[in-house]
Amino acid sequence: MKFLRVDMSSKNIRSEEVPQSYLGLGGRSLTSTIINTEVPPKCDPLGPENKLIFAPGLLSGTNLVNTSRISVGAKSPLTGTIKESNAGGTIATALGHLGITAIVIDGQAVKGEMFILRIDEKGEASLIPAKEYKGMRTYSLVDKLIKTYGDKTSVMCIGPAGEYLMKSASIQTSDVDDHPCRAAARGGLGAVMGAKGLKALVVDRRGKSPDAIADPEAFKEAAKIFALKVKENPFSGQFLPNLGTAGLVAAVNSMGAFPSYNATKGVLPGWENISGENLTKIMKERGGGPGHMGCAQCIIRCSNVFMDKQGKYVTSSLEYETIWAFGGMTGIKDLDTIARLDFLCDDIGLDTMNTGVAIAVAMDAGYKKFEDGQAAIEMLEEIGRGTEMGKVLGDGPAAVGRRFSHLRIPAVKNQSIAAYDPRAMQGNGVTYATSPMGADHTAGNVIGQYMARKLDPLKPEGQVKASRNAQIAMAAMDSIGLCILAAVALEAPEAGAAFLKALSAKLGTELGADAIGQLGIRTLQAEREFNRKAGFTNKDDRLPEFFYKEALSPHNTTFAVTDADLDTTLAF
Amino acid sequence: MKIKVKLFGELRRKIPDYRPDKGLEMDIPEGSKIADLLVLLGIPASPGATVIMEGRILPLEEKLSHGSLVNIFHVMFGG
Repeated sequence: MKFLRVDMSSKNIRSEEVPQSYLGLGGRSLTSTIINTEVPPKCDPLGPENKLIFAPGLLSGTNLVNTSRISVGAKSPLTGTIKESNAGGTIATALGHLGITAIVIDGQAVKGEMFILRIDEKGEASLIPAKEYKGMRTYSLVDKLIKTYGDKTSVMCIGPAGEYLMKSASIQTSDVDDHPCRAAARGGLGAVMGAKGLKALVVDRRGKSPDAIADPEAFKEAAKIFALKVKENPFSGQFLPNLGTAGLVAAVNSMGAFPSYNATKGVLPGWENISGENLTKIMKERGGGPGHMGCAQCIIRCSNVFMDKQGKYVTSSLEYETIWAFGGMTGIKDLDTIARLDFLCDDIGLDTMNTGVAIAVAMDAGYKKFEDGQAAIEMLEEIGRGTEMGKVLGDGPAAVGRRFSHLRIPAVKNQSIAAYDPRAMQGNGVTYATSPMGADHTAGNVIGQYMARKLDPLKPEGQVKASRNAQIAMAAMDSIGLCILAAVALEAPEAGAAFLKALSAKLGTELGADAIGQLGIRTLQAEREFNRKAGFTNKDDRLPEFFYKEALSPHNTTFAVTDADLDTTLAF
Repeated sequence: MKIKVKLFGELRRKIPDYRPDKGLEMDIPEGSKIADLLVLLGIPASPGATVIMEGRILPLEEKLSHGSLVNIFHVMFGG
């Protein structure tokens, strides 16, 4: 259990024992608590006072399945709020094997200088000048880093967008095939990394100094039961390996909740072309396919590999949200174009959602026509080159709306919504409005409640409670490091008990049934406290006006949860 | 009465030779409910299936009528 504190101003690296006040925290609970304690709330997110923190989950690096999740935290240049952006890949497991609880990046390199932070198999860290890697896109960068540091290397890095300090810049991370297709995408944390002068974090995967498990036998037994339950669950065990998250396209369109043509329709005519079913068919015909293992420790295999018509690699982990942002929001109904756009975002280092929605807002404002795939590709290349228009697009939908004086901007706190329209899934609207992260589906998605017939998605009643429960659960999962797609198995009581037992066995303390919920609440409290100190109030926890005024077809509903109800969501 | 059923995701594997473009044409007894249809198809309602008609998620006790177009999905969570 140790922190690595890296000062980019002095280039000093210090290893320290985890301070008492941070013990028992991991992932998001740790990044958010450190930021709330150590970062001046009103600081410039791109200045030296902000801290960029990498923290694997509490169980990352153990043998529990699906725990290779890393939290990246900072004050966000996009939202101005606290931010935790979560990614899979292999690096969380690698850090867990080294017993590294967090890497805290402070200060700022001299403008124009770039460094790589390398951690070797003994956990020794060093800053290496990275002049030769400046301006590189992520695929060629990772390729070069692996050649330099060996094939047992995990990478987290930024592309040109992060170096340009764009507000949609992501931090990309390598998957099991060393493709930088996994992303801590949201909130512009790539720009924070760029501002610090850090091009890449390079971690040796051969570490052999993980934190001890307090009760290894009990852990092993509980982990075995939990893995069985993940396999048994029809969603994580059967659906995801065959369709991936793209399987949601058909369902959300059928519910009339798929924001299309910049959220002016709830169904995309011709959605069948970009459905998970069609994606699977195309991938199987061309090679690649669904059922791909993207992250270390994964037994679900929701990832995929998309090939072009000639059988050449295009992209990996083409996800539902990306298909929506580049398909639904722009009206582009061609998976080849969407896959190309996904690759370009990964390569330039961009959040696919914030970027797809930025392009949709530009199309809605008349800059280019909806459905024009070539125009979308050109817009992404403009971002990659950092042209004047590219810089506007790379700052996300709110920046594009301002540029064209266009008011239909589907974003909260400047961050784009996800692939669930709040007028047809009111609970997800509550999450977009109230999450300390800005609009973010992974902060508390309620769709499972609707599909299990527990809640009517169109009525305001019950939505606040559903969103609150989901937000607490997600904050806890992001802290423990469990993939949220494996977390669906926790609905089975035996799986829930095994998971709690595994966590207890790891920490060496008998946790009560409410411990996981308490971890989530504590995390959300720290995040809201930081946001309040940064100047945010309940009045910021609202959706854009058009969601209250423009009815969405086919249900012709608007967002109907009252402000007073919204304000109770996270008022712990 | 006649109804049309569309299956999504892995549920398609339940029916040999299922054609996604055509769906299933079924003749079911008058007054059948959604729960009855799921039994006929061998799809467990819980925890597995969600039935959507005309954009609405329907309860298991909802009655079907002649000409209904029924879409059946797995229960899904966020992606």
